[in-house]
Amino acid sequence: MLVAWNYRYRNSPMDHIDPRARFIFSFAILFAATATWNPAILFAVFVVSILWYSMGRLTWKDTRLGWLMISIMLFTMIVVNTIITGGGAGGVVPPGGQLVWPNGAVIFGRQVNLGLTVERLWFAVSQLMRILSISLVFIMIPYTMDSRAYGVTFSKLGLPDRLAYTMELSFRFIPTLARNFQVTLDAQRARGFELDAGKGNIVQKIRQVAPLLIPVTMNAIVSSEDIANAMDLRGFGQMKRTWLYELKFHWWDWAIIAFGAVMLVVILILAYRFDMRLFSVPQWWYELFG
Amino acid sequence: MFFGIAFGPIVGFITGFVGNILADMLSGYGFWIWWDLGNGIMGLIPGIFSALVYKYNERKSIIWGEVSVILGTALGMGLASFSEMWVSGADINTVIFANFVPAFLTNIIWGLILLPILMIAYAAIVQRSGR
Repeated sequence: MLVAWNYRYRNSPMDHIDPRARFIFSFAILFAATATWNPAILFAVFVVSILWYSMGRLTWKDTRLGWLMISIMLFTMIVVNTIITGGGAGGVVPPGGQLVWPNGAVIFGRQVNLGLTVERLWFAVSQLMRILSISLVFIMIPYTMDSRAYGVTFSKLGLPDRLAYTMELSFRFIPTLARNFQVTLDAQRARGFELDAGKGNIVQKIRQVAPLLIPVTMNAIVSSEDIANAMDLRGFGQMKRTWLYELKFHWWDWAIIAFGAVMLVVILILAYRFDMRLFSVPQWWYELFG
Repeated sequence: MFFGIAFGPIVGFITGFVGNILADMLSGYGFWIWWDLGNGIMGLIPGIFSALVYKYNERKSIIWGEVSVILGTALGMGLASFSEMWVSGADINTVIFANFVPAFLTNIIWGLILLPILMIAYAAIVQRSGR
């Protein structure tokens, strides 16, 4: 079983941006998008996210699995809850409002009265802009960031060396763990074990997987103790460590951080000082529905 | 959860937090900080209970482990699910039935079944290595 990271070098603008600047900007987008329900501000953040995503030069083929998961979440949250059932907007959209179909509709010969309001429909649009803004900046990270960069990035961002090195070691040993998993699977199969994950109820499925998970987990623990002893013998944790993978800020990285910070501060001021954090529906949206 | 019980709250939290980050990245799902934190808490809570565990194959220790699984899953998945209220603007019903219930049930079933097996297997490792 080959375990490969999704990242590959594309010579895109995103490949030349320092990972620290990318994480700072992504979190600025996250906090900016969640600070307000104002449609103009959300739209601005959405446009910035789209531009940021386009800098990664990702193809649909690269990211379709991630977008599939997000689509399922969006469908459940927006289409089923906000639009169809009428829930999903509680606490944000004021009760009542203008019905989209005040006279109902005739479906298969039956009169159906639909309670969907213009306000709730706009809330669905706002939700879409907010969730997509956050998804666009974060979904691209595994595809556009070298796996060797995570440890040094978190260390340079101020996280303790132990935590940053945990990330680094995790990335390093995932292929090793995958190989051990395959070896254990082959050994169990040689002893008559069959991994029929599709059969039985959930309890039976878990019990089928146990003869595979238990040896792999125990082997991982024993191996990790060896690694921990080796690190202790080399004095790990006694002083600040250096990293083989080097990060270097360029002027554009500082510009991106500054832009993200200014954007976030401006949005927070607009939201809380000028009371622009509440949900509202633009007049042109009402005019679309007469 | 098992790593929390075996090695304490910090290891439990990091295993859940970093593990979820890596799993999402390997699967191509991106980076979802609140769900990562939720999984971290699912490892942290059993880690707190590790102080009550002396022998991993003892009935009392296994019961404490199972209690920690229920509590950790409820708190961890609760935080992750309820974060959708301020991130996505979902209401309480959506959060409970579309996010919390599926995540809670899946994790708790896996945890309740696998944790005792892992604890008993680890007891053999501990005995063999003399820890």
